[in-house]
Amino acid sequence: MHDVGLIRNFSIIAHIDHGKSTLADRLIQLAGIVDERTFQDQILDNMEIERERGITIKSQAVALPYVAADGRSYTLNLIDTPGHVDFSYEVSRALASCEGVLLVIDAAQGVQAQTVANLYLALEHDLTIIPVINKIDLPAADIPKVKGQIAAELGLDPEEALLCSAKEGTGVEAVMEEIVRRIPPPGGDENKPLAALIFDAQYDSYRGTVIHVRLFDGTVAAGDVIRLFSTGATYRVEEVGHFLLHRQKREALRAGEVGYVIAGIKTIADVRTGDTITHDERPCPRPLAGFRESKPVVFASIYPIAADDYEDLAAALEKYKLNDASFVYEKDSSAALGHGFRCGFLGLLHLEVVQERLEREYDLGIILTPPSVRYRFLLKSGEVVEVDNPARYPDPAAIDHAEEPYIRAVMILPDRYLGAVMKLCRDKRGENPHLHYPSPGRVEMTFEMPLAEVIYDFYDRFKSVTQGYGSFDYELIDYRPSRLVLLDILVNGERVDALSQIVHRDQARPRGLTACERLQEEIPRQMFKIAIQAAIGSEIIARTTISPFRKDVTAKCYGGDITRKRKLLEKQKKGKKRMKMIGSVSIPQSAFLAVLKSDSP
Amino acid sequence: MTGITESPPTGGLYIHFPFCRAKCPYCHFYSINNLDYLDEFIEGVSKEMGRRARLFSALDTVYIGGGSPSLMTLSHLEKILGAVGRHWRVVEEAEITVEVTPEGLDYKWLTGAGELGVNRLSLGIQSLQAGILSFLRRRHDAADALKALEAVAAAGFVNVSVDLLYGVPGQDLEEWLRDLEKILETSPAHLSLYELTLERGTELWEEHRRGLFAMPGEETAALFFRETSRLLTRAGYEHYEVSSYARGTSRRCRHNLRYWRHEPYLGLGPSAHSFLPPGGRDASPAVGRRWWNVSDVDEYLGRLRSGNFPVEETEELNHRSLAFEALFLALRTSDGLDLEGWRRRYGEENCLLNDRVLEAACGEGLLRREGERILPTTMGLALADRLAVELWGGTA
Repeated sequence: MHDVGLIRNFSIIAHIDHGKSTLADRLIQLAGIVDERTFQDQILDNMEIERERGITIKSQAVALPYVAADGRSYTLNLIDTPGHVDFSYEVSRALASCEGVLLVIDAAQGVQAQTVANLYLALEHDLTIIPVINKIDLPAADIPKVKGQIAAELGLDPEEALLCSAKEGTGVEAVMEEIVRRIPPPGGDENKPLAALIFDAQYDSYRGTVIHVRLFDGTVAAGDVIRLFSTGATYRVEEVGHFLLHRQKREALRAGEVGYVIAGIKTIADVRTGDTITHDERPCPRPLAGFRESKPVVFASIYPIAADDYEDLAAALEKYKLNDASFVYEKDSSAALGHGFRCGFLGLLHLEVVQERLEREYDLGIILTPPSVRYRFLLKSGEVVEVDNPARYPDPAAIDHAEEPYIRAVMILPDRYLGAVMKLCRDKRGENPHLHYPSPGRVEMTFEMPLAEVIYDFYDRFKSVTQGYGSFDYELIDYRPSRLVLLDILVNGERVDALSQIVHRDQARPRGLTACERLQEEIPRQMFKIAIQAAIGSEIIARTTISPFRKDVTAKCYGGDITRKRKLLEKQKKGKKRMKMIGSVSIPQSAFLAVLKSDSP
Repeated sequence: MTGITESPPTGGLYIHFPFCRAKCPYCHFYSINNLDYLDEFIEGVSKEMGRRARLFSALDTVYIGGGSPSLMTLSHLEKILGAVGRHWRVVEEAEITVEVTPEGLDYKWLTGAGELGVNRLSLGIQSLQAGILSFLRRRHDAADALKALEAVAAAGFVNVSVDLLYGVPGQDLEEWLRDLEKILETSPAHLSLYELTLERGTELWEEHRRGLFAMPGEETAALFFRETSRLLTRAGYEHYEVSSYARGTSRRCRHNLRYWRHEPYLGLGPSAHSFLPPGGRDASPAVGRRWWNVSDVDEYLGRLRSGNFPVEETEELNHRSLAFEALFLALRTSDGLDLEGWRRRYGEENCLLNDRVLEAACGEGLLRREGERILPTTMGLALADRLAVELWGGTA
């Protein structure tokens, strides 16, 4: 019997490391859908990289059976959300599938930038918010202080906050109970035309795309012909079901429910998060609100270290793309690195995830070029060109002016770090600062900054100047005029196109020098002196050199034992394989990203 | 059977004499100080000769190294060389070398060795400085060394090589060069001047690991190398291999040249290495073969007694591996590498050379080109290993 009154759809949102995943694990454990023996920590974050970094990249969903104090059996649909600012659109779609959220706050760290950002997202969707103060077992836990922040900074009633230690399991049962009590059951009408929100999709090598949906109206069952609103494409449904820890096939999904739809969709790229599914025969009048295409904002090229690996790389990207609709790529080529791909990412973290997965899961040696944002050039001819690849930098003589994307950064930090962060933001060309003191000793600061500055060594320095106590969030706002130049790197007089960067003119010299110094550190000494230069056009603006080896030969190579020597040299040959030859210079993989690291603390 | 119609090649013979009075702390060659096995060893080596005789039709180099071969009595030496003569034709102008140490070298032994056919001596002097000799724990002094040089000359040896070590902790460059000049006054035909290298498993390596001394840095080693080469070259010596100098091409060590030229050699005795290039009688034409004996006198003798080869391991080398070996070996020598001959020998497709690096190495003065030949300069010799790795243009 379908009784929406027994369904609760909720999500857990938190600042990174505040214990979201641990709480999710506890809820799953408490629901008894997994036995102790197979219980793994952080079941929802099931990608290896996610597990290692303690963050969630993709959404997951799980239906938790729960018998509440009122004696009735509920289904609590937990929709996990990506925990990083790169994926805020994915978060918003997951939240759109819920009626309520658990807003988890670390009892020691208190409210942080992502706590606030997540709260705003939840409020936008008009969700019931249950504040949960987690990690109350920590010696540094300060519950009264956190309650004060909940009142002052979040505007919520601190008396409604639940206390728990997900790690130790205390207070978790009460969380379950309050989900039932406070979060309203889903509305919707199962007799109306089908309207289902796609909040995620995953690729299954046997079944194709598995769409994760929340039904707002109507029902969907196997055999139905469905239509995706944004593309108009129609598919016949093969299977529907809901999630326990694995897919559980069901007759139908009805209004208010969360589950999956399999409809013979070959690639995940055909499905867009945020899109609406309806019936082809009896469509809903309009799509559910909030759909937009997620657009990449950070771009970099990926090249195989060994040219022979190009085909393997192409295959790996194709396969990777199956499960990551927000990743885009196209062919690219470089004089220095040969054939490769230009790729677009939602942010730097997304980029790192893709890089790691390609190396780990596909065992590929790759070179990633310095990331770039997408610049806009207004040419004297009146034409506007968007450039995210330094290789496509327009002829400087043809440029009327340039624009670059700006973000609004929101930072929350103890006020003792204010000076240092202000300086950092100003160094990063930040402008228009706004300060707000949400509670004593804490500052909320907003700055408008070029996105390019954030991808260039911002996080590390921010973390360092705030000693880890600052939190950071951002959103793209607009494009603004900027003075840009193309900074080239030359190795022994030869331009390495893959190391070129588009930079602000005022920063060209320091950036050029930093790049030269980084390369000096990363490129191992070789047989010849290596000159590294940074140039704008034909003007050399910075230079470093790497002194050559003077002696590298074994004294004795006789007695006939040539084998030992050969093995030694073959090892060196192997080491060379991990490097890219540019002219006569071997450049290690690490050098290509190192140019983006600055040396100031 | 077809294909084995050609007669076996002329080869070189190395005999490893594994006995020493005491192990030098820097030496990683196999040796023991229990001389009880000496007689048995002589018999064992003779037996091993019998089993390997068919590999070569004749010998044109014989080299008895060690260890301290001068611990052999003349009758030991006679037995060994007698056995060599029974198993192979030793060509008339063959080079027959024995390594000797300065201590206890006497005129009678030397003349006796000469009469047995030994025509080249390699004299392990190592240093003329008391401090360095004591660091190296050598049991002779400078006076012994100079006396030994006189003795070998008096015994009629003209083809004499002197072994010296440089790059020893605490060594002074000027002092080293003065010592070299002192040695040069005796006009040795050949010098082997080695940079001290710490080998894993040696006493010095262990002491260095424990921080008991510091090795000279690369710049110092390069300076010693350069100045040594300069001095010897000015004195009329040919710097024909990284560590080898000859007073004229005819005084090069023909036996060692075999190693660097991929010519066939047979090594007898514990730990000795052998090599047969592809195409020889005992190797499949497609591969080169290298094998080495067990590094244990007991086991070596035991295996021979039970009728087995005392081989520890054999490896087959395809043309690609051989081409790489040939490259790094040739780059150790001033003759360098004849690219045409190299490609002909190992196949164009296996001889991978990075032209950009070659061009740069020539431009930077590490290599010279003479037609199809690439020759390392003195600077190039100092970087021979790296040069080979960087020049190799393959991915394999």
